[in-house]
This record gives sequence, C-alpha cells and structure tokens, in this order.
Amino acid sequence: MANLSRRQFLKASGASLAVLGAGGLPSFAAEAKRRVVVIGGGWGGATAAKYVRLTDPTIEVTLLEPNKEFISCPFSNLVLAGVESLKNLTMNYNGLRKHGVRVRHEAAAAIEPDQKRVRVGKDFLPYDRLIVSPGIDFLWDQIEGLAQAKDTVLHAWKAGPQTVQLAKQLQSLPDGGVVVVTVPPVAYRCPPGPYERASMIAWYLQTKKPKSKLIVLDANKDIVSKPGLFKAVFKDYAANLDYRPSQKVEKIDVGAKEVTTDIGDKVKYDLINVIPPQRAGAIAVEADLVGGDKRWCEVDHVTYESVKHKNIHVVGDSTIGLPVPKSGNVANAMGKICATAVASLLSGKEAPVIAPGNTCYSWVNDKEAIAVVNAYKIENGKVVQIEQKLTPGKSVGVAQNSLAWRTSIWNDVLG
Amino acid sequence: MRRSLTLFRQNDALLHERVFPLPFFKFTTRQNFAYTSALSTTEAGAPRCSDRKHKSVGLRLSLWTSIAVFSFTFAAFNASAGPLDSPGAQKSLVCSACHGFAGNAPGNTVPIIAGMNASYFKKAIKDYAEGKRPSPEMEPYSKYVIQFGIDEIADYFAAQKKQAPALTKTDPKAVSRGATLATQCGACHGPKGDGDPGSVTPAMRGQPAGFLQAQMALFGSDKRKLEDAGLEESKKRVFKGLTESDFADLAAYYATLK
Repeated sequence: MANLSRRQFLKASGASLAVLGAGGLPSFAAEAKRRVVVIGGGWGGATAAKYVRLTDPTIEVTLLEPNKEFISCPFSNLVLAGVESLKNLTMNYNGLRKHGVRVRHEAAAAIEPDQKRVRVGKDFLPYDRLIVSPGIDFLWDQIEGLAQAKDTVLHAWKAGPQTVQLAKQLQSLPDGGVVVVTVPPVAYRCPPGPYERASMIAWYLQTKKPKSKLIVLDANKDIVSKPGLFKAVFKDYAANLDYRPSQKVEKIDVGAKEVTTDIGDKVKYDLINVIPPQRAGAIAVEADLVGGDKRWCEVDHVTYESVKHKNIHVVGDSTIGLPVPKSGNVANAMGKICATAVASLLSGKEAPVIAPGNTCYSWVNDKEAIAVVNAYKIENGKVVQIEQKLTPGKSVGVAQNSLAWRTSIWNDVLG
Repeated sequence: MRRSLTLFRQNDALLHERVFPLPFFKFTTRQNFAYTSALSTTEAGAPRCSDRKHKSVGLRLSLWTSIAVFSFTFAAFNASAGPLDSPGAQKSLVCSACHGFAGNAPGNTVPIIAGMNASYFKKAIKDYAEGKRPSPEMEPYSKYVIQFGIDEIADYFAAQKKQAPALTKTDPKAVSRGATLATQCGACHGPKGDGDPGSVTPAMRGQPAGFLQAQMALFGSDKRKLEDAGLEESKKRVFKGLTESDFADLAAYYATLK
C-alpha cells in the first residue's frame, strides 16, 4: 500500500493530495527516497551505480560487490607476457563512495522480482529498480574432465589470482615446451581477447623461449574479432604460433596432458589455458533473467530493462541480442545509458534514446596494439551499427591511445 | 627489446602517477563539487536540507500551504539537478569513456574537449566523418555525434569548464625550446595558443602533449591537410623545417601553458 501511494505520487503531482490525506507529512518524507540496487561492481555495474547518482543525486543507490578490489580484465593479457603488473590494473571502490553510492562488499544471494527486493545473507534490500551486471560464469561441464581439473587448468578469464598464476606457469615453462590455448565458441566475454592473449604469449615465447610453441585451438571457424589484423600479426609469429580454427575442445585428460577436439584430434601440451564456454553470471540464471538458451539475458535496447522481469535492468557481458561485443567499453556505455534510463523512469519521465559505442584495443607485442571501433544508433527501438572502423595495422600510436583510453575509462567507471 | 620495455615502463610509471591517486582525486572532487553544490545531499544521498524544511516549516503550515511546499519539493525531485540533466550531456554519454567527464580527458593522447569552441568542434566532427582527419577511433564516433545531434553536443562541451591536462613529466628545456619554436605558430594560433574562434583556428593551449604531438606528426607527414589552399601552403612551409623532436618540444610547451 505504501509503495502504491508512492508510485502514484511519482506518476502525477495531483496524487500528492491522496498521499497527504492518507499518510501525512512525515510518511512522505520517508517514502520519497527512490531506491536503486546494483548487483555487480564490474565495468557495467560500477558505472551504472555512479551514473544514477550523477543523473539524480536524490536517488539512493546501493552497490553489491563481494570483491573489495576492481581488477581490470582489459590489459590482463599483458600481465601474462610480463609487460604489465596486476597491481597497475587494480583499483578500489572509494571513488563511488564519494558519489554517495552505498558500496556493500557482499554477494547478492537471490533476487525476488515479485517482492522487489534482493536477499543479502539474512537481510533484504528493497528496490524500486534493480540493475544487474553479473558478468559471466563458466560452463565447466561442456568439456569432459574440466570440472575436476579446475584448480590446475587455469582460465585466467576473470582478471585476478589466476592471471598471476598463469603468468608464473608460462615463466616456468622449459624452452621447447608446448602451450595450448583453447578458444570457446561464441558468445563469450571479450571477442578479441583470446587472440590478444595468443599474440602476447607468442611474443613472450618468441623473445624468451624461442624453441617453444603455442597451439591455439579455436572452436570457431575463423578468428572472431579483427580477423585481418590478427592474421597479419600471427604471420609474424609463425615460428612459434600454430593457429587451428574449427577445433572445439571436448575433452581434457590432465594425466596424459592431452586434449581431444570435436573432430577427434588429440593434442599434447606441457601447459594449457582453457577459456571455457560461458553464460551470464549465476544470479541472472537463478533469477530467470536468461532466455530460452539458458545462457544470456535479453533486454530492451534503450532502457536495458529485462524482457522477462519488470523493474529489473541488465547490463554488460551477460546481455544478448544487441549487435555489440561483450567488451568493457560496451559495458561502461550500457551502464551510463541504463543509469539515465532508470533515473528518468523513476521520475516519471521517458528514458532518453541513446546508443552505446565500442572502442576496443588489443595489444599484440610489448609496445604495439591494434583497434576496432564501432558506433551505433537506435532504429525502431533497436541498437543498429552505424559504422565499424579498424586501425590500418599494429602501431605504437594505437598502443599509446589505449593507455589514454584506460586512464579515462577507469576513471569513468570508478572515479 | 630492452628499449621498448623501458618505453612501456616509463609510460606506465607516468600513467600510474596520473591515475593513482591524482586524477581520481581531482576528478571525483570535480564531480562531487558539481552536484553537491547543485543540491545538498548527505553521503547516503538523502535530501538533508529539504527534509529539515519539511519538519520545521511544513508542520506549522496550513494544509494548502504544505501542499504547495510539497509540490515545490516534488518538482525539485523531478528536476533531479544532476550534472547530466541536459540533452547535450545525455547524448554525449559515451564520449566520457575516452574524453573524460564533461570532456576533460585525463589521457595523454586524447584532446580535452571541455570548453572547446562549438564551431571548431563541429568542423572537427565533420572532418573526421568525411575522413579528412584520419582517426580510426573518431571516424565512427563522429558519425554517432552527427546522428544524435551535433549542435547540442557541441554546445554542451563548449559550456563545460576546461581543466588543465594531467601533466606528464615535462623537461623544462623542452618547454623552453618549444616556446622559441612556437613564435611561428602564433600568427594563426595566437601568442598563447588560444586559437581564433573567428577563423575556426583551434586552441592548442593546455592540450595533452601526446595529442598535440600526434597531430603535428599527421600534419608533418601530410596525412592531415588544411582546406584553405593558402593556409595549407603556409602550414607546409612551417612544418618543412620541423623535426619529430621539434614536435615533442612544441607539444611540451603548449601542454604546459595554463
């Protein structure tokens, strides 16, 4: 009832009479707070939390993020090759607190859409609108033997301890060793990421362990992102890099140090990095935000409201259906657009019609990078690409631009 | 190899210095200032001042007066008063990924567009869109700007207060050499590099050194041309005698101009 009164009040100022009649002054003062809860403090969620406050500082925003530190996935492939440290990619959430975001380092246990609340431990957080940015989780059971080998077969696809561990495994590889990296079928987080990783590992082997070899087993039939640019890069690493498309890994035998692909090829390795197949973060699946594929969340292209549950918005890598890559830059753009939509809707206004953009750099050695940039528009309520542009080739200038990008976007997400 | 590693590390050290904690501090302060001054809020975001008003004033007023007070308060809620409360700000939301909040880019190779002359902004966007200025980043985004409303976006950035760039370590000797070289630039760009809005000549003063140097390299290699044939000729004359290290000195000088 109280909620109803408040919503009516927000819809039309005339309703204020009813509220006054029913509740009187103090109840209105207490009810006026509009509450947004954000689940997940990655690129999408942290940005959304900050930008709801920037758009409308009267909205109360609580961010639920179990980790005390934000570690950037972009640039973590450079850590593997020893040209960057994880410390430089690690930040805290104090910037968001300065914007008045209530940051709670706890995990959301469950979403209750009917009650409009999130369970956190034994506590419940009510919301008027919820923004879910759960990132990705792995489908371990899609590769036989992988679930049991999770501790030693690293993914390093969420930047953090595994990134450092994989870098150490590479350092201990004897010269002449064979490294295998497996690429999952689309859709997965960061389309060019596996190929940037392959380039950085190949560069490392070429310069530090020249007798060693990297075999890339790609479940996709071709390089998924920036194919022309990566093919040119891979040519430079021909002595140390063997790229094999249409080789979906189906089984791993850690005892025999061998993987089997869907066409029956068996590949031996000394060191393996399996990037597992992926789906939206667990909470999105549990809250029934995913579609028929049980993997990804379909959303409205303007407000990012879930097509399955009202008042719940989803941003970042866990979304599907927009012609955009699962990139940090896109998650940041979605976070900002969703935040303005949420703030507008909570004030009874229409959400502004804004499209995301994507700026995506990939490093290919210790000093050069390539890039792809996409601009989008909204057409009939859907995100449509205006143009995609690639850099002509790898260059130091593009790498320098990527450093400027990270300085700016980290600040946009957290500062 | 050693050299390139050092290059990266140097950049990284500089970058690190710029990111932690200085720009974070600077930027959050700026942003906080922007909205806390617009509407007093507590840390948790509750409207402290308006609450007090309700309790101390509202209770003593007649019903109709309190309705008026509430309508006013509600209007204030609805107005939201955040720094993004304009069409230009909302249409340029994606820009801050690279160009910083309100166009104050903290990166070394990205221009600060806060406070940029609107006519020059529009010219730059059109040049990027038509491929006259080569930039894989800005070619798609310039079309985005045109799609969503170049006038509103240009006016929004022109109205933002420009901050000084996050300075990289500058060599005073380079700045001094740059100052000497800059005398020949002043004829068009003004004695302090402020540019000339009348002739749509860009301001270089207080732009990040990396950006300025990259643009000079484009001019020097003839990849960025001026539309006016006379200007193009004089630009070529100026650039003919300049080397890469001159570009760096000039960039260092203009970046340090407050």
